[in-house]
Amino acid sequence: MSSPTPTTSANVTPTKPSRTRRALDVIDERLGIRALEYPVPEHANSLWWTLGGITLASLGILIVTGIILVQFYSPVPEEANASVRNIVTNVWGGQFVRGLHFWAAQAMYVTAALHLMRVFFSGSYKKPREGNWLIGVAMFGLITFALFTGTIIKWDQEGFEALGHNIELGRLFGAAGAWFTPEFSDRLPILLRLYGAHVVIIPGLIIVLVVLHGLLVKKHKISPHPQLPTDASGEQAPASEPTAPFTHHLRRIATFGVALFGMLGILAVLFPPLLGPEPVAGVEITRPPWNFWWMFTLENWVGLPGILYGELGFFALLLALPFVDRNPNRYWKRRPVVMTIAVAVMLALVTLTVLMAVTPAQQHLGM
Amino acid sequence: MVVLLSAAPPAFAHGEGESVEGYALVQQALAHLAHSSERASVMDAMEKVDDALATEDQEGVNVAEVEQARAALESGDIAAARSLLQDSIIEAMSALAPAVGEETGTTIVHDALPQRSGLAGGNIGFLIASITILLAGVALSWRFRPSESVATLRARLLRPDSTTINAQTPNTTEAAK
Repeated sequence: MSSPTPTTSANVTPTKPSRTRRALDVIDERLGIRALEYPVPEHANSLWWTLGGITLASLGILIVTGIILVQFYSPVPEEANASVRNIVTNVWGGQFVRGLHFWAAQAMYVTAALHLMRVFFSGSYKKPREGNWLIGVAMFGLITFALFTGTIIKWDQEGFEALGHNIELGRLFGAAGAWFTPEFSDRLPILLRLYGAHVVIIPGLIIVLVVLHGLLVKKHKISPHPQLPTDASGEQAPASEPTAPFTHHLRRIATFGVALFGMLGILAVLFPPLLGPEPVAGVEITRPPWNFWWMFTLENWVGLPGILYGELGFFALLLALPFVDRNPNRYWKRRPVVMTIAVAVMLALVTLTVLMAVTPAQQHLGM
Repeated sequence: MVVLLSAAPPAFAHGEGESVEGYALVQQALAHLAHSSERASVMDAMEKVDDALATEDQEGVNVAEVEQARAALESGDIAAARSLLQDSIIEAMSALAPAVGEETGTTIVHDALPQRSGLAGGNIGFLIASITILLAGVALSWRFRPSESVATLRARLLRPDSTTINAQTPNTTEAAK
């Protein structure tokens, strides 16, 4: 270390730092890692307040397994399904890696949804965090789109029928949806463009938004817990609440991430994802992934526009929330109106999902 | 024929959503049979086979084999029917141009890939490793759990004489070194 040796009295022998400590100091001196040791309120280390971090851990697993999978996947219509079969049957560990990727995607969707709900129920979207709520909602939309494109690019009957919906919805949007239609670039298979979106555009946008999300959390600080007192502004945890370094928060997220990885590994072995037969145009015989069931019940009722209206309505509600809900209270019992609406929406989503589970696949495309 | 087959994706009859190219109808029958061997799927496949036999555009389709496939379906021999249907469109499939747009590029319709075929070899290793990692993660998250629950924090912060010692702030960490 080049810093001057501290002055000590003749009777006190300074303790020599361990080699590890000195190595870490050398690294820290150059990278400034200790800047992460800023204090965060103690409640931030509860499970509910680490859900965003666990979502990030899922993203990490998705990126690593995705990088492995792209070494063997062929995004050409004639080869795509066969290349996934090859990954599962001929590449050592391929089935496990694909299973991890599939289950990590499910975990990311579920933890992001739970994180969104936690932020909602604890009123963490309120002033001054409205912008960060919008970023979070945008990320949730991108996660949904990543799931959707992931379903398509395995290029089986389920994926192709998902693509059919993608195209029809793109056409419903008119010029704004042109990118989602094959006419946008008719010399290329649309599979190739959706693959590009799945492996570059969507994760790239998610990473950019994750960085913005994190920077805004740092700027606005961790939101106060609705059951704990706040400071005078009502927007921050009180100075009297114990704090811990942010690195401890990261350590807590990392431990949950390790547990999540193990859980996903077990699921990958015991319940590997399916791969259907090669796609055939002109038939509709599969059900979409469960994440989209609520929309497809709407489609059964009112046709393809049902998906569009349902999705737009859902995200419009989420985006409008911090601007419509001006109640300054964060505790749920003091927010009866918004809570009633939220419960009604959630009940509707669950009911629509259950209805899809008990309804056979129906023909919508080409009707 | 190559030009005819590659010129456009399968056309659809108005309001029906059904293709009129014979090879595409045979593929649709194959899709139904690959999806499920239940009676409803077989009936759907039979309907597609009938459409394929009735359509005017049978370019690249071996009609005799399609008729044999229909007979096999009627007798309940689905495996034979699938094999015959697949063989009946070999010529049409070999003439397809590389897929563009929303074309499927499908030439052969295989069964769905079976799920796990039993725990063996690598799978057991992955399972043991995953369980170990899960247990390690749970143990570590327990080891590094917050020192106080929200309920404890609440009780403490609401006490009139509440004072807080932030023992782990960066300043005190620095001082402890």
